[in-house]
Amino acid sequence: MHNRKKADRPPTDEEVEAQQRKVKAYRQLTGACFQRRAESDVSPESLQLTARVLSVNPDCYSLWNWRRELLYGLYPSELQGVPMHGVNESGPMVPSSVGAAIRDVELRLSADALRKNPKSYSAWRHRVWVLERFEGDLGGELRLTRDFLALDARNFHCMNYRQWLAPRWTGGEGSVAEREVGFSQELLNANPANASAFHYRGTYLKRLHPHPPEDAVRDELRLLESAVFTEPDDSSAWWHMMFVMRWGKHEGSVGQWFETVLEEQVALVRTLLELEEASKWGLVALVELLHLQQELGTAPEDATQQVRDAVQSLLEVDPTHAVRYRGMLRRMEQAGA
Amino acid sequence: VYWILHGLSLLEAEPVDDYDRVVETLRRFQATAVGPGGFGGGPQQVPHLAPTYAAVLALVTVGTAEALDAVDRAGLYKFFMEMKHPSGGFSMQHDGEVDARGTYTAVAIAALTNILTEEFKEGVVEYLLSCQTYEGGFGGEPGNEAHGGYNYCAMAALVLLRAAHRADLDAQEFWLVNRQMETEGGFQGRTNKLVDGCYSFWQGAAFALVAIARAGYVHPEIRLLDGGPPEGMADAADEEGGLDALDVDDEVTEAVDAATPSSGPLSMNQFKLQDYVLRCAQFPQGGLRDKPGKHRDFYHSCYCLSGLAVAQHGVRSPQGGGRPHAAVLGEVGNLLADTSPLFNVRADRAEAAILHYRRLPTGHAALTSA
Repeated sequence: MHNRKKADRPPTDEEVEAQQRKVKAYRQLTGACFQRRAESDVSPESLQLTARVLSVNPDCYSLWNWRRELLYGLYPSELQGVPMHGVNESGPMVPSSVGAAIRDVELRLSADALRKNPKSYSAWRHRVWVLERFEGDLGGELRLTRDFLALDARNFHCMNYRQWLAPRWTGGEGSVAEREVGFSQELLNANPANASAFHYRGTYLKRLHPHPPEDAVRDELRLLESAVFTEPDDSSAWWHMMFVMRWGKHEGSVGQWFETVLEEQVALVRTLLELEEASKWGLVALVELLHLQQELGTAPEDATQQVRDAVQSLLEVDPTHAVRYRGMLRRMEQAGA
Repeated sequence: VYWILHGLSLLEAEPVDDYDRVVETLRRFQATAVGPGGFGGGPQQVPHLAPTYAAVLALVTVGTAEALDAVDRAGLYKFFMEMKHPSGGFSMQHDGEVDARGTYTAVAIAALTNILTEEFKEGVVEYLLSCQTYEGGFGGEPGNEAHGGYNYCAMAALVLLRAAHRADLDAQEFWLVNRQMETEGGFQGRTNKLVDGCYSFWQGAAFALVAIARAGYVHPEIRLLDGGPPEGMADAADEEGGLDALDVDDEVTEAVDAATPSSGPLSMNQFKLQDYVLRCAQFPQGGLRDKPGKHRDFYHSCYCLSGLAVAQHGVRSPQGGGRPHAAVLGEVGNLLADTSPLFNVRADRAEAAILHYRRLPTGHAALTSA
């Protein structure tokens, strides 16, 4: 029947046969690899055979391992003194002049594999293993992460790889932290609701300013203001606001300026709640800000009642999560609030 | 194998006639030829924590003494200790990624098979705690974004290590609660991502883990892990338990809130989750899926069913046993067997396995000699 999606009808006999042929060919290929491995066949042909499997199925994880062993067997002088296993934080590396060709074959295979499966653990790990041992173009690797994030801005494998990579390339302007905060801004410009970008931004803001000064906090809040007013239903901006306030408070003593900022934020959120009574995230943020004021001892006298009122509103506005809010009210009662 | 057997065990439709062959096949995946122990994805494949987790859980599901004894515990222990990383986490394989998933799979299987030694546990709790983000969920590695799969792994491992209370449980619960989708009723894995049926378990079971931690780790399986008496164990056939067959209704939330003899409610909307699995995740020709428009597969079938079971059963009370009380959306025939939120095998199989392995010798010295 025409117009029925492939998923909706059983496969034809031809399709089944074609599939069986593919499976047979794949099994022969992997069988050959494992056979060679069992016989310790350390040869360029073995290396090429693994590449044929891995470019079709990046998740045949054993063959990435064997491939790494083969490299040590085939290039003993280039890899002299470089540890095969482990992290190699401070060990010797293969200089570009010696290892570029070997390195590039590995990186190209990994990239081919990633095009097939951008979420392949093995393929991303192989890049890390290679670049821990071979001097490489880390700036180029950062560009690669940008390319993969353009395909899928929420690919955490790629974000985690960039997190590993970022401190290792100090070229370009400014510090690593400044550069990475800037990168998170690029991601947010492309998609203001990219929660992964907000998270990444937060980790680098903390590195840039473990104890942020007033203008750093105010700058972040200014960026968020328009986000929460134009898209009050998008939780990621609200989360970042709550992160920024916690970051601003940090442990230890806090300047008068922070108490002022906190008051202003409460006022801002209340303004929004006047416009959007049923803003769940506005209410959630209000509760969090009031809690912060209570921690600092600058909360208004009726803060507890304000929190209770906000949670009551949340029960109406967000009934799906009623059990959670009732739990909060119960715990407030038990705490004698 | 694990996804299929576990799914069928929850449906109480196990292929028992195939169980001997399952055990024989899995024996061949045990990596004693290419490593000290552990299981690979297939014969000749190098040992890896994911297939190790799956193979042992499949054997636990089969549940016979022969199946349980197929695991080479000493070899497994040596493999785990080779995977142990200075950061406190565990690597998934030689030169693999170190993260919460590696750590959970190792901790869970070690706990189940009674090889969780002091040496094994060193540094693990601190590593896991450092994976909690400001959002309240756990990421895969320290500094990574909170993610449903890794969140489950971190929380389950922390509960097994009796250390989840050292995390910010309030923040964890808040993050979890906001992963349940308003419209669909199912769960997303991360903020601003789409619903996916597999998170029915990863996120759903995490609610049970929070409840267990808040109850001071008083839970039938944990009691058994601690050497407690095997009374009040989960029944193999739970049909005599009290059941509420309910329609989606406002009154329903009240029923969930009421305390029940041997299981308690969770702070998620259990009915909306069941609704998502039953009405959206089922594939017309059988099996379950991520979401409408996606094809069925065994992974999603396993985890959608597992999430459904969690949503029906809630969390087992400290005493366990007694008449379990479940809240079932639709007809009572929808009720699945109870799954363990710690291991995701049937509760009765988890308990039987713990009892079996706890009689066997343990300790770093005993497991590493010869």
